[in-house]
Amino acid sequence: MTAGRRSNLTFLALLVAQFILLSFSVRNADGARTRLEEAALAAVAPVTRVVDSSIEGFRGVPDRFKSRLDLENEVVALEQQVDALMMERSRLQHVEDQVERLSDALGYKAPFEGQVRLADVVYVDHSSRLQTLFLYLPGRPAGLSSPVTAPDGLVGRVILAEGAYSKVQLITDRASGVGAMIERTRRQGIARGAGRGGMTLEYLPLQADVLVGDRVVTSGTDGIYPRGVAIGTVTKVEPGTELFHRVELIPAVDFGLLDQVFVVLGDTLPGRLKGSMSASP
Amino acid sequence: MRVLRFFLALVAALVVHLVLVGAEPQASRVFDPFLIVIVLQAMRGDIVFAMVSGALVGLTQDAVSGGLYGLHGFAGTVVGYVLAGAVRFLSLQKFYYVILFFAAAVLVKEIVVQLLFVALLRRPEVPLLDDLVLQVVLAGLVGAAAVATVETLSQRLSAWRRSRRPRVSLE
Repeated sequence: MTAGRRSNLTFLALLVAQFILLSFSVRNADGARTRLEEAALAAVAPVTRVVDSSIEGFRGVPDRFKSRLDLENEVVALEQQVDALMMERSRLQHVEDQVERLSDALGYKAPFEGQVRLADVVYVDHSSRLQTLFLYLPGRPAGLSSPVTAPDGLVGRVILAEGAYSKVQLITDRASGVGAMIERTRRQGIARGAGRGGMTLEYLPLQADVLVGDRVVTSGTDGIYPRGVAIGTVTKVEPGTELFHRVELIPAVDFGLLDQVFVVLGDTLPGRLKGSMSASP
Repeated sequence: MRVLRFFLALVAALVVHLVLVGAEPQASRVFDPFLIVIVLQAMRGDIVFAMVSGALVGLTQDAVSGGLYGLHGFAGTVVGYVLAGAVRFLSLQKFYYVILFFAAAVLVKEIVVQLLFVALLRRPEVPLLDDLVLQVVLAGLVGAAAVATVETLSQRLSAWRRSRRPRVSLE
């Protein structure tokens, strides 16, 4: 066999093997991952953590040289912030008590929202076409499809977990879809990633009431994300080509500022119900 | 030795990518350090080594990307094969030929990635022309600088090796 023919055969074999790998990724976009992908995450993720720690170390250098006056001002500002948050907390506690009392009276039980754990963001690429985010969560690993949130709103869901590291699909990813609703009117739709950091809200009929500035939150109907988490704000509403509005959203979370996030562990829906949802067309 | 050098270059590309994305989130749209490694391997003209290294580099890039696993691996294999094959018919003696070679690599990879997007995804994303132009320019310049650095380092290494050889003298 000549060298040229051997290299052509190797080329074809490599292409076929990788096309099979790609087909597997397409087929299992929502579920199982290949061992190769898990091994790659296990090999690469520790490097991302080392690099992230080094970058944070360099970024923290100016903070170590603050003047006494700056520090005193910062302490005063933080104390004011703590006071405001304590007041807000006590107000919310009061509201929660009221909701519980009314729920008991009506026999209503809120859906399970799972246990929340804090995780470090060690790598985030939110501007390229194939955006992603890596989490470092020591201890109990995150389950597949565990929702990831930040104080400002929804971040995405875990799509691969290997040891202490997890890979997250951002809500701005074009393959992502979130059950959503407009907070003001409770009208439901699907929030999809539009790439380049944007999102769209789909399946809102033309007669639906939607305005620029409306807040969009999760509806909890997709079986993945808990209800009521902020997704984004409506920035543009246009009549679409079919029977639906064309609605653009800006995400509630600034992905470039993410340092730590919350991972919701545990199912947001009972397993039996989840099975029936995935079986439906 | 060649395999060790390749893995060192791969780790360097990974670290450069992570540092760039950590420092400037938009960097990954306009500069691809993984492609530089693939082209450097392809410039040696060994087709099999170029496409295997292209696949490995691509799969590493897939590990730090979202979306489908294997997309960059596939594209890296094709880029390695095409460029290593092209090197046999080209003479890259001049500086601007090297720049054009790296620029062509960006276009080949982009075409393959776009074809895969269209074939496999329901809602493929078309790249912005500005990003693509910047990517071509940056790959050309950084690639040419990388080639010059590698050549200088290998010349110094050979000189150092020659100087370490025992001098036999007949007395």
